Amino acid sequence: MRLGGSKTRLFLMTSIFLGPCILIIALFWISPVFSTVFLSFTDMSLRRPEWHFVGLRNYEYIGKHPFITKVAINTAIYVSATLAWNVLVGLFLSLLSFYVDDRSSLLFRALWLLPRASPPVVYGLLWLWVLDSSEYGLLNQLIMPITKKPIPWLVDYAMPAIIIINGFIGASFSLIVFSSALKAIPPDYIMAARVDGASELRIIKDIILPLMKWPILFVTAWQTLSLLASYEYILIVTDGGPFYDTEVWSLFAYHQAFKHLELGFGAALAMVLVIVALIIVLIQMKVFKFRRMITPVKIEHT
Amino acid sequence: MPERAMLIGVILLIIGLIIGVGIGYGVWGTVPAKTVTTTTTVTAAAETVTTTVTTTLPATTVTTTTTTTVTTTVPAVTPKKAVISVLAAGDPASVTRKDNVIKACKRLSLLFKILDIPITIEVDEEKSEYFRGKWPEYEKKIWAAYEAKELWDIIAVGHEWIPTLAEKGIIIPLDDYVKKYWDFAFSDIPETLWEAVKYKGHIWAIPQDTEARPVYIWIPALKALGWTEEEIKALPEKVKKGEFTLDDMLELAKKAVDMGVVKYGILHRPSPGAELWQIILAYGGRLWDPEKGKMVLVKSATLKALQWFRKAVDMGVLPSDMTTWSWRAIHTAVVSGQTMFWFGGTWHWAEWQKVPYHPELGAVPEEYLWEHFIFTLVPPGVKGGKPVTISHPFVYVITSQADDPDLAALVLAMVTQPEFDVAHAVGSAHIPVKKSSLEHPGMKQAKFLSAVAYMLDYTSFEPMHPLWGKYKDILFKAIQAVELKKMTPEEALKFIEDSIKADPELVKAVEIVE
Amino acid sequence: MSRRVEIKVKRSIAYYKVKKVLVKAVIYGTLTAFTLPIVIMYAWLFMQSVSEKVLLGFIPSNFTIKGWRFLWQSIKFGEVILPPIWPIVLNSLIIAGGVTIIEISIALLAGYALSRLNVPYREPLLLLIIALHAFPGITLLIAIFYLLNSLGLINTLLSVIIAKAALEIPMGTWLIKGFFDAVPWDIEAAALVDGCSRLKAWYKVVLPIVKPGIAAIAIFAFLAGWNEFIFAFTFILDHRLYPLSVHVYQLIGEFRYIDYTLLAATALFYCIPPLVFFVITQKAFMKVALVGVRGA
Repeated sequence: MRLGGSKTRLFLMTSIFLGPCILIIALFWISPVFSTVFLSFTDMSLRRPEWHFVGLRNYEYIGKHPFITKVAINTAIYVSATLAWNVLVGLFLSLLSFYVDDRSSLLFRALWLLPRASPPVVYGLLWLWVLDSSEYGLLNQLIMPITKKPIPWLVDYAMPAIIIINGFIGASFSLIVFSSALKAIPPDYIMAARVDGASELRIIKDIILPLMKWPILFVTAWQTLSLLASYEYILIVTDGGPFYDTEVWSLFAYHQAFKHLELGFGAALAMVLVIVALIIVLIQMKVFKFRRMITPVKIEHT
Repeated sequence: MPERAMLIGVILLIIGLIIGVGIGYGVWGTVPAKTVTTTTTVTAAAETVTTTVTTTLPATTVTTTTTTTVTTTVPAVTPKKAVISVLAAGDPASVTRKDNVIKACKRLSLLFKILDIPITIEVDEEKSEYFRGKWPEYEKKIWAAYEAKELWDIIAVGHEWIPTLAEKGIIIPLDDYVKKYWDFAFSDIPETLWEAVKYKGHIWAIPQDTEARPVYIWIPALKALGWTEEEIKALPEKVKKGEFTLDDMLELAKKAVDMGVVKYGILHRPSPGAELWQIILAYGGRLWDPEKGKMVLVKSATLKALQWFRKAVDMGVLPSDMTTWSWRAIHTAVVSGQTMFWFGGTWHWAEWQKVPYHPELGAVPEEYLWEHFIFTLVPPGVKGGKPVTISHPFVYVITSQADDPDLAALVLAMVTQPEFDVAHAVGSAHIPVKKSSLEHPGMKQAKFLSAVAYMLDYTSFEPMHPLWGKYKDILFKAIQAVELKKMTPEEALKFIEDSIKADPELVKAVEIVE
Repeated sequence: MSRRVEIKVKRSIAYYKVKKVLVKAVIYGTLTAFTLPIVIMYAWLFMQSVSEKVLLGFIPSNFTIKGWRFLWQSIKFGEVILPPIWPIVLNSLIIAGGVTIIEISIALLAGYALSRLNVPYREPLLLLIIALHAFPGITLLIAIFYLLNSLGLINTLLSVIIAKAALEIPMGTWLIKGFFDAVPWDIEAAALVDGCSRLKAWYKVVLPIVKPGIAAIAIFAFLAGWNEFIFAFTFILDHRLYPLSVHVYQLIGEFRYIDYTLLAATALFYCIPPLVFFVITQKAFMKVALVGVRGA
């Protein structure tokens, strides 16, 4: 067992070691929730000298806002589509690289990590160039021999664009998780199946995938929350897209708070997001039994 | 061991960066001067000089009397010192908004030093800034600086921000200063411009410049359509008389596009701005009721304006994604003749000469502009109507956190001299605010500014209301929706109305008329 | 074996071999196809920064260093003079360094405690850290802005440093905890038996073993600070305090269509530390990711 000291000694050491961390979390993670609740009941704005408590007026305005349904639908589409891409493409690629020699596999994974490691501003710039509406954009250069005219990608296909842009980032995360999960599968299982004459596809279907259940669920859970809260890349590339086309909830809240300088209204929008996120977390915890979340990559023997 | 290599690599990189920064600082080329200290501390000396000195001005008459009437030392000036910082923004050619203030400060300092007046005006050139971002970011910058108590002393803003700034207590009223320096600086600013800086009965800013927002027309396109030189030259007159309407513009644009003479018929700005509201005015609408102090939504005129935008897109003369264009792309297209009509501003004339927008020629010389463009007011919506334009004066405000408002006001009086007024006007193709500037020799050279001066007779201003920002964002979204075909003009009008009614503050501030 | 069977066996072996090669080719091909966009994008970044025009995405033409002139001279745009690059680099360095220092100090302590001490609230705390990931960033952003504003810290580099470090600490703690978990208790016990105090044991014995972990979170923290955009964009108003991220963002609006070369060069310059770290740490990173993610 642990060689402790006296109880007070232990307490002192604990406070020194854990204290700063807990303080930071309390200040920057916990208290913000309370401040946001508080702010959402006021009409605080950087544009006006005083603020007052306005009760539920901000929330009413959310309901009445002419574009709130569009924003909600955008968010739903964006989260589900990008999630699907992240998980499926990540899974697909990790499976593929499973069958490739180690060096190439490492190379591919490294390349896929590049977008994630780059500064978001630069990554956004690269996509802005690819999707440029003029004839100098990369996609247009490739397509113009066929279509003759450049296509304004960020106007007509804004939503698919941001799905893919965020998708590359998210897929790299799932790629890592799945790859390490695959590596953790005892090779004997697969060898045995091969010796028994099973085709590779069978092996994937019956052995590998079931063993990947928990990593897949973990990635899904984690990424759903990430996507719900993500808006940085969207801000850089389309900033809400032509006319609310790519305005997702978190971006909408950001615009309200920091472009229109309405902190109270922005806080109300953020609160709604928190509630939705909490609901999702609760559902996930129930479905996955939270202990499993703490050990995400442990392969369960089914 | 890989970890060791990694660690070494990391350390090397950081050292490299730090060295780079050091070298960068050392060998830097044309760095704009750092903190300038034009300190002119002058101690009042006992002199036998009769000076009629007011607390600040070069209206000083220095009379040296050789009579034996000795006047004892009268340092009638209390020693003062201030550090002035200025914030300005705008197009790339209008940096004079900031530089003029700095020059004025230095000019004053020099004069005080010569006259032995113990007033010091330092300029904080590092903090002074010419902001290059977008207007909403500029707004946020000012508001947040106010909260952080780090405001500049003098800020240049568009006049329509005055109500919000005043309500928030960010700026101070200037009535007394205007009266004080009236004869020296402000007497020859036209009455209309003073209207643009008045709010709730007080004057809150000094007009800095104004402009008109004409329509630029590509001459080679007109020629290709068969127009003669005389016809081209007569066009501005026709617009003035109301013989050339917005619909005529659409027809002409369509012909040009169909003939392949130009790529686009009409281009306009991609963000909220006065050029767009001009269309509403052209159809007889208005945005502001100065008597009631309320903004207005004239449904009929606004609907017609929305329909005009939609018609332009349907006819193929206005790109549907106009509101997503970047300014760079727009200027490049206009300057290289890809569009027939451009709803621009007078200052673009200077911007095109200073910024290399043209793919081959870069920054184009003025002769090029005279050869290729003709400019008119915005045509009326119906024949016989009045042409319109909106002016958006820029103004200087003194903030409530200014070190020394008196000295700041003096600086503004100094900057409102013909020399600075003309330097900015000619350099940036804005219109000077002083009538006396028109007599200045520098202005006589400015053919363009003389040519557009008449537009000021047809101009109006945006509403002076703290909530104008919200209203114009709604208008812009409506125009955007109509152009992108997300809404019909009727739906867009309803959207404007609904948005106003849904906002508890806006609904009290906007009067809705049929 | 009869002749017939021999041929059959040979054929099926050949068929099997061809199939294997084909399948391998398809796999490699698909992987390449998916990865190609990334390769092209980054290749363009390199190529565009040193050529006037770039054909078909990444074939450079008209080699030039003009794009890199921002390193030694001011850029003029119209009448506007852009600020020199080196103070901006310094700002980024300060932010990145600050985040690293704060995160390492706090995460090391907390990670060890969570791993070792029989703290009564260990499990819920762990759960908390995971649950924290659920908090949408925008919620935190608004509230943190309000908090920092009340403290008068808005418009300072410190605000960005503290905010970013605070948001990175949970992840960093969890990561380093994994490393601490991997240190066998016996080593520590031995040190304690030899008479070290708990603190000394931690400092002299345990820390050296988790050095790779420290390096890992140091790198993550540094990169997080270097790449940070939203906080800097929202909290910093003074143009003298802009880090590279905000600077490049504003350049995008100004220089697209006019001077892609300059834009690409600046962006590439900004990207250098992340890229360098990325290349150097490839192998080590893979290892770290596997170890760290294993969890308790």
